[in-house]
Amino acid sequence: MHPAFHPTSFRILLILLTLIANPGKAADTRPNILLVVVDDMGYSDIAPFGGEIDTPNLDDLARAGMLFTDFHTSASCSPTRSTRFQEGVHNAERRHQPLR
Amino acid sequence: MAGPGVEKPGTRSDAFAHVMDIAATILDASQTPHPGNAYKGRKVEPLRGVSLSRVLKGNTDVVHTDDTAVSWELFGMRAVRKGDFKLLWLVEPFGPGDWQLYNLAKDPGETTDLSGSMPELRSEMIGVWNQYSQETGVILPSTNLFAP
Repeated sequence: MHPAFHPTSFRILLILLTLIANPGKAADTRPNILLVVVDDMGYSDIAPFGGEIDTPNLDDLARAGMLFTDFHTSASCSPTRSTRFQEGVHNAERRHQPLR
Repeated sequence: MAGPGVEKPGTRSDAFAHVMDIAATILDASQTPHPGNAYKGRKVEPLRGVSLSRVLKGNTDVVHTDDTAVSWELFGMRAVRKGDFKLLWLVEPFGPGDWQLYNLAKDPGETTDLSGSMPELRSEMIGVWNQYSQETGVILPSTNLFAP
């Protein structure tokens, strides 16, 4: 069995939401948003969470931002990608059932 | 998360949060109201996530209050989180094939099933699951996908 099928240990997708200031339009204060999604990565793979792999750019982001230690994805990648963060709803509400 | 809206760079939040909260956070940061029940003639489901903006500002370390529940399922495995507690159904042979109850604050390793000692809370959280699965249209597998 693939450990990702175990709902008690969410497969970890690292999600970094980077809100970048929009310098183009002085009147518009809304930020540009960059969402980075990584599949099949353990949260502890990267240096900000104790990993041994050098991740200097992610280290910079972590220093400038906020780390979340109890942030969860869906228990499989496809419902996470298809609906949960795009629409903020549960995957079944989009009639999405993950494939094995 | 980094950028405008993060008031205290380099800090950490231990708040329970979920990927569903991303959509709410993006709508909040972009000052975009959720369209409600419909968008350009198409039906839109209500948002289940909660914006992380108050946590990013350092105003609170709570995203989902103790009286709100977050549920999920995969391949017949099911769970509900509410406050300190987690209701869990693991398909055999990975679990008993029945509901289990854990206090994640005291027992993050999920070693002590509280089903016997807290039957009322267990029943209440099973009710939360039933309502959730009906609302969202969860389709559970008709057979045990993990049977040998």
